[in-house]
Amino acid sequence: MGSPCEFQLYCHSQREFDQCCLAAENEVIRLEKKYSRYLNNSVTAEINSAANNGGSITLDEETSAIIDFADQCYQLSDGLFDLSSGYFRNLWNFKSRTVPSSAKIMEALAFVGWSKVTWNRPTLTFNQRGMELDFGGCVKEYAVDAATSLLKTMDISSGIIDLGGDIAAIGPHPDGAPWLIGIRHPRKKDDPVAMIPLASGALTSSGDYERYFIEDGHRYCHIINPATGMPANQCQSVSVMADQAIIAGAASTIAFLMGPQKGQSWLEEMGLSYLMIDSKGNIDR
Amino acid sequence: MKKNLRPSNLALLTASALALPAISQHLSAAGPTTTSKIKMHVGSYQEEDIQEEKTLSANRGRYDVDIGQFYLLTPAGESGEFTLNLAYEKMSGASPWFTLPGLDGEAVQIMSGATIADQRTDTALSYKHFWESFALQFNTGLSDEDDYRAKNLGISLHQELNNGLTEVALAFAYSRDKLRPSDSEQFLDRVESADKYLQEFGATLTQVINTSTIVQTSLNYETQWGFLSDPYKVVFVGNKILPDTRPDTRYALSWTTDMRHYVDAANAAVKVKYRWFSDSWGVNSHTLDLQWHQNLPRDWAIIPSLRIYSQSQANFFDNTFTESTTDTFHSNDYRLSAYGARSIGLEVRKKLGNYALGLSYKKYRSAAEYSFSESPTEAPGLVDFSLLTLKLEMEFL
Repeated sequence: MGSPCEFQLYCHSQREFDQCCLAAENEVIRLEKKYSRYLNNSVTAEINSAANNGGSITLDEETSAIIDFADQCYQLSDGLFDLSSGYFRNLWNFKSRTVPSSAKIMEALAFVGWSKVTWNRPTLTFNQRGMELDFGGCVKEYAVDAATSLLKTMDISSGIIDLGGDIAAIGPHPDGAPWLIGIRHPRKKDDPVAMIPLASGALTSSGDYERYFIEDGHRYCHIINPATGMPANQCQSVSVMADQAIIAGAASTIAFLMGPQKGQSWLEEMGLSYLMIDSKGNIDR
Repeated sequence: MKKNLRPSNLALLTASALALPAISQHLSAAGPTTTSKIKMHVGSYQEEDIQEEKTLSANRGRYDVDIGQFYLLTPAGESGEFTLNLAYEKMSGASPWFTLPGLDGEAVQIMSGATIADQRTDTALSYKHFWESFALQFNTGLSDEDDYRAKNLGISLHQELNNGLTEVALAFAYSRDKLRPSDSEQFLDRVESADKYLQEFGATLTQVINTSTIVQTSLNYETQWGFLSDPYKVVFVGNKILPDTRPDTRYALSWTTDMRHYVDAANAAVKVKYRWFSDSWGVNSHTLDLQWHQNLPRDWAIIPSLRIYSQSQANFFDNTFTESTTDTFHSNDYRLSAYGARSIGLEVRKKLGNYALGLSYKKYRSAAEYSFSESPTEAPGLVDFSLLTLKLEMEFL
């Protein structure tokens, strides 16, 4: 998953713990392989081959369900949550740290937009050549939910799953106490800005501190607005709690893109708990 | 964190998230078991003595039953599972025989004279085979007592829909029971042997609402035919003793709905179940079951439960019959009277690794006044009982 992953489980024996960890790890690895951008035989690679050539591809049940979810997020976010934002990685290179020209941004926008895709389950049709999907915005979170769900069936009732900061509690500590999750300060790495109690459900964060560069005093982060092609810059971080990590993850990305005012009212309308830090460092919780 | 409470769009997103297979498949658990489970229960069922004013019999003791139960669920190959249920019951005591008008006009119960001793063994075996979203289950069972033998067969079809969040099941069951009442040579009106049959059709819909809530509703239609009377019970009609005589067919329709909801904030689960039943003998009943499963620290759990029951009487039930009664059918079996029952239970459980230990106690009271029927005639034979059960359960790979 490209980031530190951790399971903390209360088990009755080392053997049970080993079995549970192995099963959960296998499930996470299965999803990572299936949706990796970097593996040639992944579903993502197959989809992007179709996307690049402009054509149709028939998808399996699981991928169809992910597309359904993403499609719903696209509708609920007025187009801000967009799987086709994948193309932007050709535009914004966080290694070379260069701000693309307006002309390049305009060119890229031609290859981005869920409206250029027809989703007729289970067939996905790209009406524009050269497009690219990126499941990065939901597969890690889905893996958290899948591992949580699997461990619950293995009779684990106390534990926590952390896949690179996307976190779900399987249940509280055996004495009923919730897990305390530190929310990272966007500007001070080892200084948590808040401790959030989590007994069940999931907590995920979107921040401008994960992948970014600073140029001429401007911070450019990896969360790109699909309408403008520019990195979102009105928030430093948004953390959201929801029953499922995949919902929390999508909601934190959407609210991050919307910015403080619109993002907060959207989260409130959704009925989700959140902690938002705006570009000036003000905390709203 | 700011807490908000408006779920409409969230409900849409939740529905999409729950349709994701790796989340939903573990929720609906629609595959064969991967572990073996064994449950062993031993129980003591004790009916309370019949009240002195309700009987003329000197011996007021009723049934005591010792119960032993064994349950095994085990995988069978890659896509099947076997379930075995064994039960052994050892009964002794007296049971209601017939009723007479008492001195004050209230009916009194006469109990069976000698102590009855009997034992019952019950064996049920089922195999369920799973395909991608479809499963087929076969059941067979045999119940054996000194004077009774029942054989049954059943089949059920289970189809998953909506990514496993919905299941539709259709079931059919058939049973044939053979009665050979004891002491029939002493009691001339008692049948020597008789048969009765049952067939049952059922349809069930199960829906996962979200990660915490599951709802199930089912409709069942059953037909019984053959000898449906109780061979041990008699009725006084004037000065004549006549055997308990019931129609030789019985049609019954029942509807059951239950909901299980996990209450996150309390780390507890609540179960609510309602059953409506109506048959061609005029018996209509309502049953409400409530259970609260409270998880406690260190793998302890405490489970209080409550059941409320009410039924109307069968058309041919009465405590006493006069000679002018010309009806073909008559019974004073308290189980066909209008009555209601309340039972409360408490179970304490402790999980120890792959083992679980439980101790449960249930107290049951029945009375005509608990019935929802208007001015019901109370049968003097109505029973009160207690049930104490010790449970040992284990699970292994």
